[in-house]
Amino acid sequence: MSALAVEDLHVWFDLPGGRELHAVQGIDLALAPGERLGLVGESGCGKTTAILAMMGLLPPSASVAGRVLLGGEDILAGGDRTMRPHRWTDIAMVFQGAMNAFDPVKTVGSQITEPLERAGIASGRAARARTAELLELVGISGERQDRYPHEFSGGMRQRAAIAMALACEPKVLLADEPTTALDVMVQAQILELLVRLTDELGLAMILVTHDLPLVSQACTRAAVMYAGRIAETGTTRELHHAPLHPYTRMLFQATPDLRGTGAVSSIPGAPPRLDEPTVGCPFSPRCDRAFAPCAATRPPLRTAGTGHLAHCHLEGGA
Amino acid sequence: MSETLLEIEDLVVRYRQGRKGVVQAVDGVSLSVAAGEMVALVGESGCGKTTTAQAAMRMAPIASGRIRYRGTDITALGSGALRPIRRELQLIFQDPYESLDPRFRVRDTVLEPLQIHGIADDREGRVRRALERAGLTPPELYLDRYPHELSGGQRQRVSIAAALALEPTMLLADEPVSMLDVSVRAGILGLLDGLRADGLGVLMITHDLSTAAHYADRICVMYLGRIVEEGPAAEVIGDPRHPYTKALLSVVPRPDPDDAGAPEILRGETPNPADVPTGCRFHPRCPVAQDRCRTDDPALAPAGAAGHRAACPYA
Repeated sequence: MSALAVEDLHVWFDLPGGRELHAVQGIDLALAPGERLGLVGESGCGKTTAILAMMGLLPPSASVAGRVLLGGEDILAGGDRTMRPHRWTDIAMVFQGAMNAFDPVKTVGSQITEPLERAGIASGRAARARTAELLELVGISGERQDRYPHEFSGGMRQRAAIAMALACEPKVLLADEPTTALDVMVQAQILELLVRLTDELGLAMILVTHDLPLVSQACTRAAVMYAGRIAETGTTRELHHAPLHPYTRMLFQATPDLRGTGAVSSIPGAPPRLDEPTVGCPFSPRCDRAFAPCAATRPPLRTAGTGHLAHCHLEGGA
Repeated sequence: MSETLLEIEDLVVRYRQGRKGVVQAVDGVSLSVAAGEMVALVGESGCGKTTTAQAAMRMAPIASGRIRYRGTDITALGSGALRPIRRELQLIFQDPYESLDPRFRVRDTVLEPLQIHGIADDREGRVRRALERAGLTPPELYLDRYPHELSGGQRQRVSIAAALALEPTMLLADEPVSMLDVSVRAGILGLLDGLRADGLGVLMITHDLSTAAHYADRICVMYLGRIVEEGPAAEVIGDPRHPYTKALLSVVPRPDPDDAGAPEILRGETPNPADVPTGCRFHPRCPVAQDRCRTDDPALAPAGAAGHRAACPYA
């Protein structure tokens, strides 16, 4: 069974004047235990909104529809009542910029211990011991729990933020840009840590990032989001070597490769507004292979082998 | 041989920290940029790459060393004498969301440097030409817009246009695409590459080795205030000699999942520039360090192909 399955997830935000912004427009995802899935796309494509919806952490101006299945149970069905028992204990999240969200006047350890005590998982000495254990798990000496955030480097604070998310032994971890703003060597350290944690703990992880190479390196599968929908999903190998959707190919073409000799080209134009309904394929105005049907009709779902899917009018690949 | 524009020689920049501390942000850096050349200065945060560029603009306190621009020593030039040099050497900032004044229309943003430098003739023509060179064509489409009406890529083009309005001979670009979406980065880098091909010198500061590999003619790798390796881009990327460069290159994520290779992840983080290790400053993290590395401070020496140098006796 999947550790996490998301079916037909939609998110709408209320806008002033009675308008609506359809930020997530029906996405499907499934993760096996220990699997790492990359969720990639340009800013504003709905990646972060989608994972916040899975955590039930969207503001009241948002309405959510669809199913979020954890071990077969739809935790979205009853709103906060069904979500709350699972949040942090079964599904946890590392927020974007989490390393900068520590309270500067409290020790790092106390900020991990506090939620443990509040959740009734451990208290007193046991909570301190558990905190030390969590820090060790992410490669920080347990003795450092009495240090303050400013005594930690950026990379260490990010490790501590990951330890915090793992406090209640979740089965699913949602990591939002966990290496953005870190130096390349520290980024490699954090990625190595996330890969090790998923392997050792059987943790399923969604890695949200705008950085395709990061996903190619750390994940086995990826979903490419565009304008609130999943344009293409498949293994990272399939997406790189045999993309079905031109957006996937063009994203790779926009990414310089250290040893690549091919031309790097940007994608013209900008993503569409999501507060107006889109007709046809939302990517068609920017697509280098758009033809007549693209602007007129919603693209069909195409498959090329198990688990390799794309919404595109093109037949036979991008 | 193209004209050498910027020459930095043995630059040292120190900052005071606290009551008695001194941070040696840049410790003996030499580099040059010629017309029609793009040089990338790469390294992790705190390595001194931005300070080096600021010193080149005379925006950081120079403790010792020389900065020359087109043969003129500008190290100690007064602000009046510096003005014409500043006109030639323009800076492009990292964040086009912060560097543009939200109350200024595009026209005013590009006009401002002309006003500051007292250039009165043909202002409208200069503004239009700058916008066209920055790829904002036709200029009429952009002149009256405000920053909030532009995408991130367009904003960065406006700030490049403002730099081009003064018809500089050289650009200093500090992480010019790191705040932009992946989809538009190539356009901005292509624009800088085109300006370079037109004869401008470009010094680009970046933490992204893939970008440096793809666009720069030469790469200088900095670690803790020093250049530890430099050379033609293809040499530094294809045949790295310094252990730090080798490690950095090994961890750069590659788009092809089959190209992962074996990342050589260095433990710990870059030491504090206020507390530089003795001997080779990289030795505490170096996978091949020997006894002598604790005491001997290696200088850049030829390694590999012509023009390729590394500061490591085992290079």
